[in-house]
Amino acid sequence: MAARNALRQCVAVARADVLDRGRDRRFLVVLLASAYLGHLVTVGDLEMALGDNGFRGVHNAAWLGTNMALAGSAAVAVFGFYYTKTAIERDRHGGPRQLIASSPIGTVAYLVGKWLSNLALLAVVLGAMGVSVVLLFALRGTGPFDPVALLAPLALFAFPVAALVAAVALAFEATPVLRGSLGNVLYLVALVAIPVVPAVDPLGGTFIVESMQQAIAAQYPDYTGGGFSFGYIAGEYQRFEWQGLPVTADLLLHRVAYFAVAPVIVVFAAVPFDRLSPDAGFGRSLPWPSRSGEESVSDGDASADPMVTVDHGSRTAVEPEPVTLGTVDAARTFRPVRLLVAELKLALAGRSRLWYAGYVGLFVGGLAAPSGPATRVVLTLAWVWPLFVWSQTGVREYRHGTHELVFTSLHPLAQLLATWAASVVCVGVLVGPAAVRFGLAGDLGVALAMAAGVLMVPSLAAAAGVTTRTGRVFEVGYLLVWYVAIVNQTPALDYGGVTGAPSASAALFAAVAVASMAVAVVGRWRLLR
Amino acid sequence: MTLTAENLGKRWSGDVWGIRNASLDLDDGVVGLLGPNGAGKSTFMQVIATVTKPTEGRLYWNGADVAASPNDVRSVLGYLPQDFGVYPNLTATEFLEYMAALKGLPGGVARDRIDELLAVTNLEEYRGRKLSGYSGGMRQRVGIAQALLNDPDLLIVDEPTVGLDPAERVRFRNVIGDLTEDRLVILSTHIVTDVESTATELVVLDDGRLLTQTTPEALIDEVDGMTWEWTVSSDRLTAVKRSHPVTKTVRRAGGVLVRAVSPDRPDPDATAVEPTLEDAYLWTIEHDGGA
Repeated sequence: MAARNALRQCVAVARADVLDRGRDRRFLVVLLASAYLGHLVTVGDLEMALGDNGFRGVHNAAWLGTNMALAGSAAVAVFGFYYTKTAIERDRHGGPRQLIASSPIGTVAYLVGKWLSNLALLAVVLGAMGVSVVLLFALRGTGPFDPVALLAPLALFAFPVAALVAAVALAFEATPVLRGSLGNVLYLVALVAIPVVPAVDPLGGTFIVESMQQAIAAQYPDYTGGGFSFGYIAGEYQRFEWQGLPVTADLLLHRVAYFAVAPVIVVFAAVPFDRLSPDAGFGRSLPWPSRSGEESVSDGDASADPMVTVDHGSRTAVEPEPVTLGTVDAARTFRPVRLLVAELKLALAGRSRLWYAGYVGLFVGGLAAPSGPATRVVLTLAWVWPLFVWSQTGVREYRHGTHELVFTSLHPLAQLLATWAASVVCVGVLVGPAAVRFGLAGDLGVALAMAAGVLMVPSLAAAAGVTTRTGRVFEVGYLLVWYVAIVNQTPALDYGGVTGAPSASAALFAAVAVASMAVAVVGRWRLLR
Repeated sequence: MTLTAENLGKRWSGDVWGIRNASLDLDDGVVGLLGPNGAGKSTFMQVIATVTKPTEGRLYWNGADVAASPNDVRSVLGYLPQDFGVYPNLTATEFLEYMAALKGLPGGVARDRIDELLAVTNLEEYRGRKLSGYSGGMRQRVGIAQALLNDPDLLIVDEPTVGLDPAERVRFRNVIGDLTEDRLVILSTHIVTDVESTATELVVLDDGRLLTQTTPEALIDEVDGMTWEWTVSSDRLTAVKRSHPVTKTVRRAGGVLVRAVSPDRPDPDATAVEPTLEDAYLWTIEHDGGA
């Protein structure tokens, strides 16, 4: 009876959540993007290439279905995580928080319901990819139409990834320290850093690559092996026939294991989960009124204020002392410096001591570090340290519910520019000393590229924030850019001065900055019209 | 100060209108905006506060079209929305300093004003405490303080007394009462007693339509001689409620004392009593709202 009740609760939580998120217009955009992935796979813009000669498969059902599955798995692993990491947040900030927290539903039942909801949404996304690849195979595919070969890889490889990601996203949401931006960053870092070996390979790529390599070796005896890549790959290539991965018991067990691990993660997530408590503290992003404890002050304390007792005939009422308010004679005009200082204070308020210490350390490092590897390390960190400051641009007002106050103030457009300028100052302070040193040493190209970068990154944040009203898009997108351009030291994209080579891209970075700010300003202006 | 609405309408989506065909003229004073839930009060206030643009009609502030030049309103506006947030990591003083910067107040003037407002809203003692530690009522008082920061010519407060204890409600009414000179205060509420003591004019909305623009005295006059009280047995109460707009019931030893508004004597035992603003408001909603 209890089990049936818990099951009913899980299903109810999942159903309500799927309906709520599924009816959001953003989900339609996600589905369209998923269908577009099918297009990219079937035209060969997104596919596997193996070996030094870039071997690629003939576009038969098995090849396209498997590439679709790999693309789907990667998309779910990266973007699916950030998309589904709103299941609890919506309840926490959307209104029913107290209703759910005070209901008899068990914590595990609630989390399982949310996991099912995450999984259902990701399954619909994978379904859209499946429909897309089936329809487009009919137009562009080679060989017989084989729906099983087209769709089985999605079920076998991408669906377990979806189950795992749905659970991990929930675990991050349930853990206070991982709930916010820090969790977003850590997930991406983990995704990039965790090595893939056959035993631990959630995406299943190692099985697929091994099978494909065997097929190439059979068809091209001079094949010498080599690595593989996935994505848009230019250059010469040779085609080989591949009929798909045989589904063995080992493979099935491997894939089902990931599916089985997911509920275990969900159950463990119940341990740190605060059950939507308003005073969870760490990681909290909205201002809940405190319920109790030292920090909170109740309305009742107001009665401590001096009161006057007034006699109204037979009864006695208590009235507060009369209060009067003066007038303000000063002109109310645009004060840019004051606005910038106010935005800077706000941007830096409430960070952890570790963050402040790191910021000061990077500033000192920027001044004192000798040229070469030491400066490169400082710059690499400096270009990511203010991430959470940047990602608030255009978002903070919605996140904290102050948008109606801010947007009806004297210069709401200037407020956006002041927020952006505060972000520029934040990163400028960190990378400025190194840029000046490059300039003085004659590396004017590097200094200019860095200056353009200082303008570009906060501009990208502003554009993403105003457009999406969430910091998540910028955080994920920028981390990928930072990883490719700064960590991997790609000269053509080096806006950070880490390659030391003069960059011809300063003009491009400046143009991106201008275009991004135009998007942000127009977006805010449209809101204010 | 004049605010003029001409056939003002705001459509949220499809056929859902927040407010429609609203025309009125408002001058200095405290205007009480009354109406049941969903009447369009908040929509009306959001349009005036330039949070959203009207779908149809025009709104003029001192003769200037608000949609064309919203800064004319924003430069003199104090606004307390029904739902608003604060930055939890800031103290009340820091938050008000931030809002003062947005409103273009010089630093010294802002500091003095903040001191004054923290005293008026009874938050002096907690001014250094982070807002994350504030109760709902205290945050509401911070909201009231930020609305008054720039000494606004146009003050719009949407359900300002929600979450305030009785003493703080009285304090707020006193503040509003002191503000009326040379400014327009628009006070939206569904608590009639909030406007009873302060409003010089009333606007009643229902279902997105403007039912009437009048004074409290004139609204009360409309039900003069139509307000009755009598005692009925408990089992007759439901029938009485069906046939008359009941404004109040009080359980007593001999039954239930019923207060209702009716053009005719509703019961042979009913006696005429002095009408209140609440009687008049409920009669207006009941009588004109369904029209």
